[in-house]
Amino acid sequence: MTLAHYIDLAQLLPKHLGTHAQNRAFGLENPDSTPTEQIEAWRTQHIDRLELPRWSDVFVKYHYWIGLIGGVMAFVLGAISGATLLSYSGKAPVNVVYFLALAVGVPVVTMGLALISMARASRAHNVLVHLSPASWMEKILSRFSPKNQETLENLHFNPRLSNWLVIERAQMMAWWFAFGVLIALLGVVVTQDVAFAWSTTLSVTPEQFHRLVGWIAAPWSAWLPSAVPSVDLIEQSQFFRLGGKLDNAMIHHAAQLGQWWKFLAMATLVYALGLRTLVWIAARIGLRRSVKEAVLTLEGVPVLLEQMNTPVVETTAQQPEPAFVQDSDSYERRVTELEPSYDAVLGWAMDRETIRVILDTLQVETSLIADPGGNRTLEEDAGIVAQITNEMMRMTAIPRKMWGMFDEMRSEAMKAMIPGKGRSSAEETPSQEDASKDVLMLVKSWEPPMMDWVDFLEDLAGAVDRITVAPIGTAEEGYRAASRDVTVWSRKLRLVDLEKVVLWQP
Amino acid sequence: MAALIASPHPRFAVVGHPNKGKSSIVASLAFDDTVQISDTPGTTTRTRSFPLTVDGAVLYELFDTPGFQRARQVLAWLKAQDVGADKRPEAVRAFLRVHRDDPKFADEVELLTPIMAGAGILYVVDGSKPYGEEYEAEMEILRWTGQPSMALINRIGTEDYSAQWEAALGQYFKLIRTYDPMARDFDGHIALLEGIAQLRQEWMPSVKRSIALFEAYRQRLLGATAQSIARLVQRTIAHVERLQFAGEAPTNMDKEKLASRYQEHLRRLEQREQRDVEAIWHHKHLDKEQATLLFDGIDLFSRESASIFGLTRKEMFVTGMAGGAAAGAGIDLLFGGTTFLLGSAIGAVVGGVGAYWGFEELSEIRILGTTLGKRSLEMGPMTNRNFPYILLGRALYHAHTVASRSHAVRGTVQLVMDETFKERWLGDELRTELETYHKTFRSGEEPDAETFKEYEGLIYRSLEMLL
Ligand SMILES: Nc1nc2c(ncn2[C@@H]2O[C@H](COP(=O)(O)OP(=O)(O)OP(=O)(O)O)[C@@H](O)[C@H]2O)c(=O)[nH]1
Ligand SMILES: [Mg+2]
Repeated sequence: MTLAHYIDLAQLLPKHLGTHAQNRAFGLENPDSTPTEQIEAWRTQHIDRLELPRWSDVFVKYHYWIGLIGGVMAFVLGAISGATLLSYSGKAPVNVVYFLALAVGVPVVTMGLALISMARASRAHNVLVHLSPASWMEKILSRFSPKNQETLENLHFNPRLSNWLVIERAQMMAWWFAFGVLIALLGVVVTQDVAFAWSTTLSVTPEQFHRLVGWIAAPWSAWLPSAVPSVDLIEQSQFFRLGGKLDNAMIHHAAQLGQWWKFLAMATLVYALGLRTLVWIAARIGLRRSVKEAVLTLEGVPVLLEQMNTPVVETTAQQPEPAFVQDSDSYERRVTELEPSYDAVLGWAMDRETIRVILDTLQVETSLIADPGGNRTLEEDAGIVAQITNEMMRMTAIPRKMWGMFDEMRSEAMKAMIPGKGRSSAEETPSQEDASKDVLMLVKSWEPPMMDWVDFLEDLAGAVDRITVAPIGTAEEGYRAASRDVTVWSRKLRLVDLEKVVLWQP
Repeated sequence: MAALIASPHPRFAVVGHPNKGKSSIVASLAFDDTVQISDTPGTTTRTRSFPLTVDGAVLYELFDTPGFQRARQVLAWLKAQDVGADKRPEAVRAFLRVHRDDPKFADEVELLTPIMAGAGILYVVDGSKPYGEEYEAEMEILRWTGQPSMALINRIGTEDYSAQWEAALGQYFKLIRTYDPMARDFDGHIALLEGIAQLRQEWMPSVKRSIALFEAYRQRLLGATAQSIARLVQRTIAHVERLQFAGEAPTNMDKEKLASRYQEHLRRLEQREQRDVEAIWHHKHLDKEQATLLFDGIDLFSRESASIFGLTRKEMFVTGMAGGAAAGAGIDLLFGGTTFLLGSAIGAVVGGVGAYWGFEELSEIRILGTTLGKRSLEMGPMTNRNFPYILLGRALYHAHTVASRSHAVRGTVQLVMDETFKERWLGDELRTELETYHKTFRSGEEPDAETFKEYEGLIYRSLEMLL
């Protein structure tokens, strides 16, 4: 995982995350991978979907240039600083204390700060990081490339990652700075005859200074003793500014004073460069780790990983269902009142006892009660229709000789029919003038009107003049139908649309 | 016949009279809120398949079917074939062959086809209405199919005729269960699956696996919900809104604009979170229009929400102390004078013009230094301590409503939260725990993954408790 990968992912994920199913399929193709490997594989597969130039290209180039400029600037600055400190006017010797401060003191202190920064890099707002020159440089340079700026603004770097970026860059610059100092030292030593001396306002005896120098030189004193100044050299090279002039002893040992350079070079090499290299490596390791962590916490990545690694569970239908459009119109052939009597009353899927009770409740009288539907056979239902047809024909004075053709059906139907109470059987009192045959059909309002019923209704409509469909509630409801249920029957009747059928809707 | 070949996975056909809740039962079992359900009989006209798949592999398959329309005529046809008991399924198959394209028996063909292809039968009746003999023909037909079957009593209304039904159904079905598709009852769902598993020995392992899967699946959905809520709270608290203004000092209008943008952003965050949660629970078709309308009453920034859903003064004080926050903040809250009354303070924000102290109750408005001659105003992160609890309460209420809504329910969600809801999830201990995280969020720093997971865990537990 590199920074470029992180940026690719940051650019890819918001637009190309894909569905759970796609990502799971991808996850199943790469079963035994670590999360990082899975993400990397995903990136490789999707990278071509990004338009060129990719943000990562822009950023990597920018990052490279900033690094290069920063490195060169640091090197030049180091060389200039070194050369300035070492410039020997011939009047006063070069004070090694200054140089040590630059080559040992400053690096050790800044490396300490760097280590503290690294330890705290996991905090988003790390003040130390923002104090770093690398951070300023970034800000200053970014002003010079407005074109890239646009791309870079799209990138919201993980704050921890930015911390590590700055830390790493700072180490790189510090390394080149130290290298500049070392080159300056060597350059000055080669091209000039420099007299080194040491002086400080503090009262430090040569012995104490020797001890300090001994500590500094500890890492190489064993194998490079010539680069460790002796007590003599230190005594000889102590310089008192107050004297205002070089004493004779110093001039006498002038050749020896040059010996200091080996020590200074070693100090620069070991501390400013050697130690810095270690810190730089640590920063690079830290950066790499932080890239990895930033990738795994990048917005979209946890989701992607989860989708790759959890099974896709689907429960719903795979094809959409066409929306059900309800015909909200109701049936317009309606009555609000029932007649006091009907020629026949049919209770669809009801038993006769119930039909009688209902008729009592509704105060309706009839001469014939029949109970089609329910668990009757279709033949029995047909018989009921035939019976009613028969009755009607007789009453409308159809020649008696035609009756015979219904008799067979009639005997079948008789099983399903009983005489109603109130009126005597139609056979006994044929009414010639009341020619219209009026049938009341009770239905269970809570049951849906089914095609089975519609078929019967159509057959019946062929036999009578008028059918009043009366949806009835349950006994508990006092046989009063809920209007919601009546609406259902009303809609059904509208669909069936039979001239002779009316709906009772009180 | 293809139908006799052992099917690769268990199938179940939900059949019955029209309008008795077949589609509702399927919608609830399949978490599918797109199923057409209405009180008009004949809503379902085609058989539809609802497979339960894991990575594409089918564990079982449910079928929603149209209701019987001409059961007696079908039965008459079957009886006319005059075959012995062993040949009855053959007769049903013959019926399907003969009437495949007969519009008269379209519904019967639709519903019998999956059964003859090997599906077990889930026969649905409405236990809140009396039993009637007209059901016998269809039960007889189902018996003719020779497929394993089970009756499901669904009570659509309030009355109870279960005893009647059980007596009648007992003549035709060995297994009779009661199931309520309108309740999102996890245990009921599992119990039904366990019943289904008994229909046929070979189906047992597959259905048992499905049960385990549903249990894990539910946890996953809960986890995703908790994550979404946690993110909402964190983002809301940490959000910072900036506004550039011209001139030396910001005008009142600038401040208003900033405050309203700030609120707008928080509202959007909440809306997005709610959509996420709805998607997690497969309620993508929740009536949004209505929902927003109804939301107005308990809007984030309205007066009521503060007192009902947030903390009371005393609770705030205790939380402030216990949460390890500066005691000063608690005291501040207690003696803050007029600006203290959070309810009115937040109300004032809505009330609008001139009431800046109200904005500041949510977060200070700061003036930032000049960059390139432009100054900017900044608002956020949320300093109001009560706010996270209001937000959490609302989010939990919404999530709990969505998660406990059956996919068979249609129509507008009623999101009406009352005072007792807070008592159901927010105890003293939890409040103390939550406060430490809210404090972290307030610092504006991105919380690390672990802290965030812990916070998510608290929300997960609250959700689990609520459900
Ligand atoms: N209150 C309540 N209503 C229910 C219940 N089950 C079903 N319903 C309602 O009953 C009506 C019919 O439900 P559906 O699921 O469409 O019935 P169906 O059997 O699929 O109907 P068709 O497809 O027309 O055959 C709808 O209005 C449902 O809302 C229940 O358990 N309680
Ligand atoms: Mg349906």
